[in-house]
Amino acid sequence: MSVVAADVSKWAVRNVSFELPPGSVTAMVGANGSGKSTLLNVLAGHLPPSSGHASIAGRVAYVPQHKPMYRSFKVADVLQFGRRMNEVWDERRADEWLTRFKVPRRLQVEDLSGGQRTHVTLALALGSRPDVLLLDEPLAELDPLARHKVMRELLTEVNDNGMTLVFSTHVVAEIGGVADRLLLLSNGRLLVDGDTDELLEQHVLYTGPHASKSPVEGPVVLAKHGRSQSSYLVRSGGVRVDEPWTARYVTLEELVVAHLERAA
Amino acid sequence: MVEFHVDRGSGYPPYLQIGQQVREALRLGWLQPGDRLPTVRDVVATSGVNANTVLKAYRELELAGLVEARQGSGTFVKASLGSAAPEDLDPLREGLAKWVAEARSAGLEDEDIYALVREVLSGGAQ
Amino acid sequence: MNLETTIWLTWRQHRWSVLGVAAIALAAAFALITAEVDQGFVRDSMPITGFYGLIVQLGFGALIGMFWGAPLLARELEDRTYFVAWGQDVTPVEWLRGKVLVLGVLAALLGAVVGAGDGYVGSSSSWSSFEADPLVQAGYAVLGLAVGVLVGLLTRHVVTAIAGTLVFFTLVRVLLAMSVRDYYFPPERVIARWENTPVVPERSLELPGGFVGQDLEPVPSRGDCVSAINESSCMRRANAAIGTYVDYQPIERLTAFRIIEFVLCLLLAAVVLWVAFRLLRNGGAWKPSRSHRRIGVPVAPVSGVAAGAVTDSAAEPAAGAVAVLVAEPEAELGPEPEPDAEPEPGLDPEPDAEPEPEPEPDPDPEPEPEPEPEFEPEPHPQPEPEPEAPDTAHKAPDTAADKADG
Repeated sequence: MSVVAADVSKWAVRNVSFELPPGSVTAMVGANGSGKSTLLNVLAGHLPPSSGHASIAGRVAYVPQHKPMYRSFKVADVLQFGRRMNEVWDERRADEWLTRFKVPRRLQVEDLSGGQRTHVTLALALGSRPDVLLLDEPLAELDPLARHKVMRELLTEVNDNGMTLVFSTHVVAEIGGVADRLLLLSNGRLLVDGDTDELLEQHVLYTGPHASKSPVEGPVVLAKHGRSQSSYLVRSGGVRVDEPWTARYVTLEELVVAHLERAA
Repeated sequence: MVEFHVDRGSGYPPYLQIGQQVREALRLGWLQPGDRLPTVRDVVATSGVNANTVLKAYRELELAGLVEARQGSGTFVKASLGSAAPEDLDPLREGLAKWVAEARSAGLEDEDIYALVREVLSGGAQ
Repeated sequence: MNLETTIWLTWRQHRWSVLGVAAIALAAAFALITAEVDQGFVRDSMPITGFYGLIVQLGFGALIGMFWGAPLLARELEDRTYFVAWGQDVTPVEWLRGKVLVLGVLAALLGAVVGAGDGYVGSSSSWSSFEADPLVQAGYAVLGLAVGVLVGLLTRHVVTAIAGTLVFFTLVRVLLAMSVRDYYFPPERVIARWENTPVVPERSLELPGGFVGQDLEPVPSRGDCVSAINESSCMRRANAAIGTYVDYQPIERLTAFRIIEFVLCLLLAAVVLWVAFRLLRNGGAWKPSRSHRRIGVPVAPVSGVAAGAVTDSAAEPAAGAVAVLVAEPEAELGPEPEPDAEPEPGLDPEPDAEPEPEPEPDPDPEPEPEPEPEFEPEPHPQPEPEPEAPDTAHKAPDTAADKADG
């Protein structure tokens, strides 16, 4: 295992446990204030958990939510900072990231756009050759095109270097095909922890005539009843259903919303 | 070379989407036995999906007997799908195009056409 | 963090405040020295430059504390750049040690410069210009820095830290000057019978006096004499005392007192820094970053067991046959830690090391006394070489730990 959280509690976060294998890509999803940042801070070692423990095998790099960076540093100074402050430093990797996203080296950090600053912090994080990279809302300040590109590049880094990637987001539409693991947090609790593909295959939405009982066996995530119609989102594992019911797979977004609604 | 497009918003698991796209390419003759599928790294770099997703898709195709992984050189198409030769497909495609035009002029929308095709395929028309 | 990196980082981050304070210090020293030359010896009038120089002397420690010490941690905490500073391989303790060392040496040197020159008082070897001394000023500068660092860590806000440092440091300094300094050594005493007035030796520091009784020991003033117009004649008439006395510190003790004050400042600074390092290591709210990297490897075997448990239970809902509530994930995770607790006989290498990995590396590698060695060398001519020794000593356990997990 590359990242382990064992019964971690801290502030809003309560008794969260999970384990992430090396080379996995995990999306941490939840509303604002659900404890994502706290949990990432605990994993990164910046906060001691009040109970339980978190551990990471190998080197960890963490890019927190607001992408803090010394404002008076020039971009080149940031690279020098990384080189001097780390025992392991991959100048080329950091440098290439900045080149790829056209970040001017001569500017001071305070003169950069939000997106450029994100790239500078990402370059610093990647340059230290982390085994585990923790990103808190990495895409928040990027335009849609850059978001896609950053994700693609990060996934390439994961593929090339066997890095483990954990990122938080509240845009569920971004994680399909990107994350192979979903951690859904709500009010500091872990609601869902699973392989995204498996989750998609397990959850089926059944729609049919008004009924007080689910047409299939399995845990009901959410039931909705209209005047003449009922729909059940069931973690049925893809069980088929007879007429007059219809079944369809749900999107990750529907799945997440259903779980959050249920928890609310 | 095929390029994969993953619809992130879809409820259809991304690895199955890739598998489906390979099958489609096989059916349509875009991929022939002996062709090499793009490397995992290429797919990751071009379409921004997770390497594990691509690996899973390829593994699924391998289990289905459609492709084979050769040590160190990549994944290759082993079997073709679809019994028809490309030259047989052409007249069929023409006929279908004519039919679709007819349906459109009858006021059917794409959704209606899909529904009709599905119904006919499942033998549900009575 | 080696010395070169420390200096680079300190300069890169604090160059403006370093330059500013250095400019003030040099200007003050220039003013004091030239004022002295102008005058030759004590006069009633004072050149205005010397007066400004004196003000710098009075406030130099506070200046260092406010502009070097207070922002050192407060700026990082306020701007959240501590994520950057402490998210690298250099640990927060190393980071702070390096910066405090560089700035501390620099502050002491500048303090010495400010303390040079006799000042407007005329001669520095007099009790009235006690603080016009390189050693004393160096001590204040180091103490100011230490106070600023701690206040910055506690307030986490630059402006608050600057104000807090000013208040706190001034309090300490006034307390030192008013009630502590006069009694570093027990004072000498002159006693005079009623006919005479006690006279202290020339250039001594005169301390409060009083009345003496038959045994020549001080006696308290009689109640009814305290409010008398002439207290002495009242005491004399009442036969309550045989004379008066005055305590004093002779001028010969001046240098010793200055050294004592310097050492006292360093000790205070060491205590203050010890608290700061302590807080930093135990993480008020900011645990040192990559420290828990070191537990890396032992996790694997134990978690392997736990992973088995997870996939087993995950397989059930997949089968779809068993009705498992969706709330299940929580329930699943509850029992999970158990495999952690049970040492698996097969995979045992270090199950013991696993449960509490954090406290272990923390107290061990660097015990408290580090702040002191940084400052004690300063009175001696060569400040540099000594602090390096503890540095390398600290590095050894770190790299050993790193190797252990890699």
